[in-house]
Amino acid sequence: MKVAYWPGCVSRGFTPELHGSMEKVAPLLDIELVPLDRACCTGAGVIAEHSQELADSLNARTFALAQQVAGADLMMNICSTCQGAQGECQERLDASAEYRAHINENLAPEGLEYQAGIANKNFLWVLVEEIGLDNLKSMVKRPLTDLRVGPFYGCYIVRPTDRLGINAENPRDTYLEQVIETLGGTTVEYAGSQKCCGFPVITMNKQASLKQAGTHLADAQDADADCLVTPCPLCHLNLDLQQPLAGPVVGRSLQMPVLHLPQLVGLALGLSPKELGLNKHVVKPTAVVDWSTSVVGAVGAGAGGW
Amino acid sequence: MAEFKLKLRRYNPETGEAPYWQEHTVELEPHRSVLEAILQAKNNEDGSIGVRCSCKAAICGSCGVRVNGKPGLACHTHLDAALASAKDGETIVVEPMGNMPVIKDLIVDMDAVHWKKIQRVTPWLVNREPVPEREYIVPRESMVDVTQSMACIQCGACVSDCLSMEVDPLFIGPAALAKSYRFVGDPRDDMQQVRLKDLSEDPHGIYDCTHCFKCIEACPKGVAPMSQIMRLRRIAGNDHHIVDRNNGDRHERAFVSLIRDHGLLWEAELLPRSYGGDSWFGKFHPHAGKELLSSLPAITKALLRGKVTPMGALKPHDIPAKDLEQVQRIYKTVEEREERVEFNLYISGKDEDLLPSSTATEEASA
Amino acid sequence: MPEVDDAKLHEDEQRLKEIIERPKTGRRVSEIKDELGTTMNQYVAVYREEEGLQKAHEVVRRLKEEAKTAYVDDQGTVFNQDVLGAVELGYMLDCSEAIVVAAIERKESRGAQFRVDYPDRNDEEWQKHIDISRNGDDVPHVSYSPVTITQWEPEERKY
Ligand code: SF4
Ligand code: SF4
Ligand code: FES
Repeated sequence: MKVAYWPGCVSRGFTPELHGSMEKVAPLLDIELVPLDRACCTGAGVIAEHSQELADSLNARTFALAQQVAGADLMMNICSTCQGAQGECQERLDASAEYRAHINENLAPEGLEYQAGIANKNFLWVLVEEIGLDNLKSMVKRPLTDLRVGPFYGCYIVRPTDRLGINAENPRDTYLEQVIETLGGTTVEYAGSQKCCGFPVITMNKQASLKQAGTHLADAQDADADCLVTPCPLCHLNLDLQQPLAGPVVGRSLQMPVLHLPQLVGLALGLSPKELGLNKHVVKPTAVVDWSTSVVGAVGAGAGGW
Repeated sequence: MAEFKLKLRRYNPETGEAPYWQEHTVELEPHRSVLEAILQAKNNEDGSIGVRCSCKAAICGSCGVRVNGKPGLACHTHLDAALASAKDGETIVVEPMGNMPVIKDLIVDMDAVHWKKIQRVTPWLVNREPVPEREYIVPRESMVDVTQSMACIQCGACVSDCLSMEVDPLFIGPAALAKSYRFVGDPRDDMQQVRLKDLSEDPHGIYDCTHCFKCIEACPKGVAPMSQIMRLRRIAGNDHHIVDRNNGDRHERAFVSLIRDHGLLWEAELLPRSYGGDSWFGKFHPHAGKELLSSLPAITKALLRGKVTPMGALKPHDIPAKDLEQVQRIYKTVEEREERVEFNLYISGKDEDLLPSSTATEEASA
Repeated sequence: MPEVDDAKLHEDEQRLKEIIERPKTGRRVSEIKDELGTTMNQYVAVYREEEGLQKAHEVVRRLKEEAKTAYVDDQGTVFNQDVLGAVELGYMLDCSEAIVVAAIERKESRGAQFRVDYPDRNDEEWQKHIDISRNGDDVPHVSYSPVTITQWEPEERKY
């Protein structure tokens, strides 16, 4: 399938391994990525906080650019926060022809126009709804056997449920668990999987922010998780980059690797930890890397050494 | 009639024992409410079950609880819906709301948390001077604007699951901040500036909200407290130019101008600017220095691990020049407007809601 | 706040204590409340007639007796809604009896009362208030007082 691909800013800035791993994984899943190089940041909710019209216009511009990608089945992002911020704008744009016309006027000078009803999906949704779990399962080369993975959704991709299209037919708030299991891993249940990582208040209330991250990491650690997986690079920043600071705030020694979703998928599809940029994390994903080498070792022995 | 399995979290402060679970089976039509089910158990089996309620019609706000882990009104949650969200597929689990001390069973201490926070925001109108002889005359739209925050029935469901309050109990919280918007947005009120200054400067005020959408999801009345908080921030920063000591306004301004200048976010620049001020020089501000120093362990580690290359961190990512021009033109158009354009779904509704139902079904079947 | 004398407080405390300590031999408070509700709904809603009202009165009298031994489950002192329910039941029964007795008394149809056996409005005899007052544990006492007509003349409703 072909997608108009919106990688977001952070996945090319502070978490380059996210965009990198997505590029590695896409061809294995038969996804053709057409990057939306001309688009700008979604605003991550902050621009909307400053000016709703500005956020709606900038995102309408991105949607309009995506709608120009010939042959694309849909628009895809790899960042929950992008999904949430874009979804919020799309909800307003799609709700009213009059409002949409007003915003489109802001795009008119460059001949761009957003037409209501773009399909914009996070990679997680694409995995389950477009590629399909059965199909995904058949592509697995190195099942995540015995790897205990804690899903960390964050906020933007699970709330509000109606805007995000979460319902009985599309239980999108369970997809991470489904993907983990499909890849052969074991889902670890812990309290924080759908709570806030704390990133949005890191500059305003650092204590509170780190306490959120630290609590969830400690909960996952107590539940014997080998690692967490998240579809959001901002969550990744607070959970991984800030982990050395979060531990002391909650009085715990934390050692919890946090994987980006494409990295987890990539591991199961046979890519090496290095190819997936796991070495770029602040918290060494030792448990994950050890696991993958032991599996490779085992597979290698069985298959006569590849 | 159908049978429903109900599991209640019980707690009696007089026994000195920990909370425990109690199961009941009730018989009711599936469209009846979880509250009816609790009351049936209370009436027929155990009169000591504590639960607040009054109107049974989602009006009084007394019956806030958690059903299957989600906060809401017991009288506004149908049994069939509750069953559908049951974790084990058959047991409807009812617990008291969170973030507030439990007095007994499903009854929490609203005074200790919720009402105290409501009182914190001066929840009444302070007359704008001069007080007219007869009524104030205000534009209709300005009152429509506050209807969303007026819809609050003080049930506490949003407070129950507020994730900021979970880690910072002093956070003023969603219900009280929505209430404060009700007066900030009221043209008859005389304290807009004072209220906003107060709420911006308070370290547990509007900038302490972590944007988690829990309150939007929880509210049975569509108040969307988080959206009201964002409007408070918007008015505080844009109209009153309040630069708060919590870096809230600086962070927002830095973010917005970085996107204007580069199209994409430049994180290495965002953090110091959030602390120091919104210019390239911001990072040399003493505040920024202090803050950077305290996050240094994280950043150097990131550098060592090759996550953030010095070049990547130092050099802004830009989008192509022509596109950046477009983005900047959009910024200019919007920022130059005399009045902010806001589209509130709560008030406007969606186009399809306005269609006569026959057309809607026609479209759906087409 | 009005002053309350200690004797009265003590009396009320005793009353609550008595309710809490009742043996579980009588009926459940909720059961009585339920029967009261069903009866009032069946016989004392808008359409009323002598026979039904008498039946209702009998039931209410009986329930008043039963209420005296109705028991509660909750023996605690924190947020005891059970004992509150028992106290409220007493008031509900009082109000119900007042309604029933007045309805039996008023042999005409007016406002929200439609007496099937007296379908017409009868200003001559019934344009007056019926006052109900407590009479110990006995059936309430009935008396009348005149209606003061101010700005609006009462008229028959024709819709
Ligand atoms: S969005 Fe803000 S106010 Fe609402 S629940 Fe989350 S932290 Fe609390
Ligand atoms: S804002 Fe909504 S959830 Fe919060 S107290 Fe008011 S009605 Fe309840
Ligand atoms: S009982 Fe009044 S809101 Fe539920």
